[in-house]
Amino acid sequence: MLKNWLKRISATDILMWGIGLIIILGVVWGSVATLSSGKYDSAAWQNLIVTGLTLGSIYALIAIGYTVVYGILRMINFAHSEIFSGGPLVAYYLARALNDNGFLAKQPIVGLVLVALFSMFISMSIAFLAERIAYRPLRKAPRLIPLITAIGVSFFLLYTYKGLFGSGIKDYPQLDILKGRTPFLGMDIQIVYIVILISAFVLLAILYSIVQFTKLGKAMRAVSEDKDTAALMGIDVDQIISATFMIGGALAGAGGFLYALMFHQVAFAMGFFPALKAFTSAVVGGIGNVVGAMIGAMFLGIIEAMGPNIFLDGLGVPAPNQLKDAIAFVLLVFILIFRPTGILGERLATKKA
Amino acid sequence: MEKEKSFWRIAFERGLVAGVILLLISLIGMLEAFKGREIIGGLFTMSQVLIVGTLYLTGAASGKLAQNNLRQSALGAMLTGAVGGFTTGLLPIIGTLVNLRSVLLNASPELYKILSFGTGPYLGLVVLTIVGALSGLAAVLLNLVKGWPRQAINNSLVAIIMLGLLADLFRVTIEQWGNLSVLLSWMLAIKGLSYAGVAAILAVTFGLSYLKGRKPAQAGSVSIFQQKGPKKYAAWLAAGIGLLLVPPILGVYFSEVLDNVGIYILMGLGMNILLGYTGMFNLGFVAYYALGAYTVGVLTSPETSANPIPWIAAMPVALLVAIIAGVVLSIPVLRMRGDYLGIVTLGFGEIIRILAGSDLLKPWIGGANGITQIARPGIALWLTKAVPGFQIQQTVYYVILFFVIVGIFLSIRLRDSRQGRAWMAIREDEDVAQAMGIDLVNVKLLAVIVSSALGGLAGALFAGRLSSTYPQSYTLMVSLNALCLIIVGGMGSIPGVVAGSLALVGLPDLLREFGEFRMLVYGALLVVMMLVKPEGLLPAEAAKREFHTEENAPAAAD
Amino acid sequence: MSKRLFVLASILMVVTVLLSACGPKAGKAYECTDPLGCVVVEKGAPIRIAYALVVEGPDASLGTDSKRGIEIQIDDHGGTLLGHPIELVGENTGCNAEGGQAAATKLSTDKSIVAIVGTSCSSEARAGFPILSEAGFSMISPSNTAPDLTDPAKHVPGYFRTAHNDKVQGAVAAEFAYNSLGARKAATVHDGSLYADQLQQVFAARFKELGGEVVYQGAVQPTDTDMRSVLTSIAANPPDILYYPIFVAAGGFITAQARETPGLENTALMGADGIYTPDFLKAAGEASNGMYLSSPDFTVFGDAYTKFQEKYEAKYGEKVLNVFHAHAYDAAGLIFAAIEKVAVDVDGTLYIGRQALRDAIAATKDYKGLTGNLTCSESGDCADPKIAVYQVTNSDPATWNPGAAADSNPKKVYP
Repeated sequence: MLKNWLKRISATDILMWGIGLIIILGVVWGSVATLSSGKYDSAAWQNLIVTGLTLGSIYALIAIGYTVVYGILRMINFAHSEIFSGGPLVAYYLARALNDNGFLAKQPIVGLVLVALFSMFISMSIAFLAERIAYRPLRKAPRLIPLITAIGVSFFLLYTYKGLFGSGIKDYPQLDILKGRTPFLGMDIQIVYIVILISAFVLLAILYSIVQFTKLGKAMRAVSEDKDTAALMGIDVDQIISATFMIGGALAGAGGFLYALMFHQVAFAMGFFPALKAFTSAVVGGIGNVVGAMIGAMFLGIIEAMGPNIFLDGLGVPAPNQLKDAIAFVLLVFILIFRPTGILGERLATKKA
Repeated sequence: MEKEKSFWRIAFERGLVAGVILLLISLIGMLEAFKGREIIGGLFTMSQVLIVGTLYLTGAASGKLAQNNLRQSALGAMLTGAVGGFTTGLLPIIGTLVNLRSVLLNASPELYKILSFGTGPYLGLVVLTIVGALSGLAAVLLNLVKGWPRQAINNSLVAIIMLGLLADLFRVTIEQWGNLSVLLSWMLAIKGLSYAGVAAILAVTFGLSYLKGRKPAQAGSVSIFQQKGPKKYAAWLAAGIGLLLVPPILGVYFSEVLDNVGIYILMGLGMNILLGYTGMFNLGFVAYYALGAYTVGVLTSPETSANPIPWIAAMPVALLVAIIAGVVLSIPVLRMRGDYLGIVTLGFGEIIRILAGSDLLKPWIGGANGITQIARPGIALWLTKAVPGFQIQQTVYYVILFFVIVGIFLSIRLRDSRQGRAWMAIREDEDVAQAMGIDLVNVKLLAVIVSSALGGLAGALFAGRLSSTYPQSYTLMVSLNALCLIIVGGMGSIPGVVAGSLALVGLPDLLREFGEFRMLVYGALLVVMMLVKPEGLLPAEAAKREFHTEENAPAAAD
Repeated sequence: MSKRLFVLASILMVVTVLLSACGPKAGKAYECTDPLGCVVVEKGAPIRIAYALVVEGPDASLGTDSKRGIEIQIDDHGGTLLGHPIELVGENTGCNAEGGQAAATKLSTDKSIVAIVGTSCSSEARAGFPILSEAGFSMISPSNTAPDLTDPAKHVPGYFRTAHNDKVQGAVAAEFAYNSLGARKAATVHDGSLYADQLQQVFAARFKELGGEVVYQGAVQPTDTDMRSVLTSIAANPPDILYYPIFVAAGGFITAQARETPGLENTALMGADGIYTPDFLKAAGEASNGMYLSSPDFTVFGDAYTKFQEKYEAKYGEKVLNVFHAHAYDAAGLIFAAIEKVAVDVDGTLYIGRQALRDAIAATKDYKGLTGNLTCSESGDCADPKIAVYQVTNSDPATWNPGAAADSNPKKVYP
């Protein structure tokens, strides 16, 4: 028994475990050093966790777009970063107009909902158009062709935004009702964070019920399982793919709006990094899996917010916060090495994709 | 009747599309930026080319729908052009009534002036509509011309616009010939081409098309490089001499552009072995590139090393470092396939970039300060001193050319070897390959070793050419470029790598004219290219067949 | 094939000879004796000025802003100089070394260019300017602030800058913090850019020299949005002053989030000229109230600068994007003034000696620019090193009106 087991171990496995062990040791060592030094109090940790969760919920909204599209087309939609930034960028002008004529001050909730819906609508339209014009004609092409097309669409959209709206920063109006802190679940949290968390969870719940319980969701799952069979069953595959892109786009637009609420500023190139993180979290969670993407995003958000402080700080790394993104990517590589399918993924990575 | 109606409708819709394209070009600021860019000196500008060109092309597309019926075709094209012109013409009118500028930055009075050809907004609407209709009509009339004159008209239009756009580059290139520059300087006006230049281009293109048109086209003609006998050797010799003569004839700037192209060819060759032959996806190629550059930097710069060594001694170390990184990263991920592999490598590339600029490694690799005073290849320095008037970009060209030739030779030999066939077997079907007795891990590792060495070599050349290196140079864009160029060139094809580098690295460098619109045009062209010619510019034989069968039997593609 | 080529070549030759025979013969009326050669601007031909700035990519706002400064300077000259139209050509530099070198190489081949305004980022100048210097060009940078570029030992002939040397600005900021604010504990954050890194180093060194303690020196990525982790680290040992000489986007995030971080309530916030712009007030929102910013002292030149801003908005439809538009305006102004000084006019044809132009720029004294009274040093520093510290009194970008008066925003508080 033991002999058999030993036989199956290759040099590769030993190397992998070695790398894994070093990383884990580093994390544990650093965390212990930080925690024992007592540099941060529990309120500081609480703050970081809440920030991480809030950021994670925004990543989750973006990640859905990657994961549903990948699930159906097996394609990484590189242009999703620009679908995400397009909504809040255009909706900024509505927000500004509503703010200037005083509507936002009088009816803050109605106004915010209007801006959010507009942002979702714009992102949804961009996603729909990108699919219709650039991706649909390539349905039968080899898998790398749509990927390159998506890179092209991404550049095109990015610089179109820059040309149309300029490269300056656009500041979203800051509303009085979103300012300040309030006790929530025994913690003292900023109101705007609570709003973001709740809105994100509501949207994610709606998405989950659409995928699980509606006819559209069933059709989406069928198409993602097997396009040809789904078509034989009378499902209009093109329509379902369009709908998938639009759902992903709308959620990205909502994510973009919440991002604008959290950080107050939007700019033409803002999409790249949040989208890269969201993409990473979709993979960490198991790409193609909706719940996995949500879990992966929350996980990534928290690691990002706490990672530099909890273990790099303890290891005595100079300027640890600069390495925040590196932590996210090390985590990605680490998870994929030990669980190539992501946290909740099907066995896709070693299956023929 | 039914058919006719649908034709008009299509023509109308195309007109709207033309209008939308023109509005977009206007509102992103392209028209205004090109208003001073004269193609033919004193006659017309690039902005006007863009306006008329868009209407002309969409008009031509509509006209082609009804090729048998001249009257209908002409009217349809005119309708398309007129609708396009009318839609665009509405912008100045709306703009003067409402302040669009608070949202759309480029909706300026200057733009309205360009769109209405200097007349007011209302008259401009009429003018633009008429211009649209005339462009459509011209497109259909030109379409009547057949045979070599037609070819000649197309070629001369393209040549005039391209040369006009590149007029500045053209001028500086011939200027450095000294007194010999009078040979061609009459072709240029103060801005753009001169009338004499246009006449010469017309004469040459018409002459060439006439000569070509007289000869009956040979079906399946082979390129001279593939023919047998002394002709083939002569052609290769001529090509070789041509490559050697580039720096003295075309000058410093072209050499600089070609240096860049050469570095990307090396990366493309590496990527080609990974993805084109073995089917391993990689989105983090920049990691090898950065490691190569930084290794050379650390070893050869007096800032970072107590005993700086020459470039040629540091280069093998750079390759070794890149190979070790490639292997260490690849061993755990070799069992993954497809996109997951791409994502892991993407993460690796980003980690390297962040570390390069971090305070953590600053004492050794300079952090934000980068590394300067990196040694250049000794032979290039010697040549720069030995040949008067030669600058470092021109001499480094020969070093890069040498390594590109070595890289191409290596790629060809590997492709045709037992290893190469094993790679392609893995690309086609991993399980079958394994069943046939191919050791997946070893064979894949060899691909990783060769490709990371090529990436490291590209990085070493890059650092040696610039003599400095900064973390900002190693972005995801480098990896994406290396990926895009082999797809655009044609996957698995070595001539394709060269063509892809020229198209995606060389052309954008020459078209610096486009300035802030370069990336936009790059993106748009990438999409169009994938829609129109997905197999690439110079596809490998196997890929050509694959794309061909797919057209016949699309259902079998999956 | 060879026959066809031969025919073509002969046609080309004949045409060439014919055309060059009837082309105008330019008589040499002026003998150029300049050691680096002369730029000849024919009658009616434009004087070509080039920019080498980052106008595309993520740092585009830095270079675009400077480019607009040059364009407004050209407009203010009525588009002409000595009876010749001014033409602005240029290259994108991408804010990295190879972009700087590519742009420099391309510009160096164009002998009709008189002088260059650039580069945006210090790394571009380091990699690219030696090429331009060898080709005889003079270049004035509106935004390179790295100290070593004008270090007499490393200075490359022909290089000038209207941007201030970071040595001055960082030291003034430290003196203000220690002497005026009475701060004894300081923390600094940079964003991995050469500018921010060197500035915070100068600040930290001077602050320690004065007797203060630097308790934290950290860094973020310029693309980061969530700064709470770095702020939490700083708050663990709260400093009296937090100095972050970075750019608008990240600077806005730090400012806004610092005010929300428990432990940093009593910490003074201070930035540098990278965020001295109304855009920063937009980015930071109300949190920018009370914040300190170091910047060139605009109080003397307030009027001209306000007018400049008005022109800028009218021309481009948006407010100034960054800080180095005024420096670029002055850089172009210095070049034009030097050209006017050295150009020799012979029947409408201008001869501009390259070495003479270099010398004329280097000899600039008390040029009245937007950024101060400019005087160039031997090693290329042309900036008026008068640095002031301002305090933001109102976070509404519309109230941006720098000065020393009681109702100014931001208000000058030091020296």
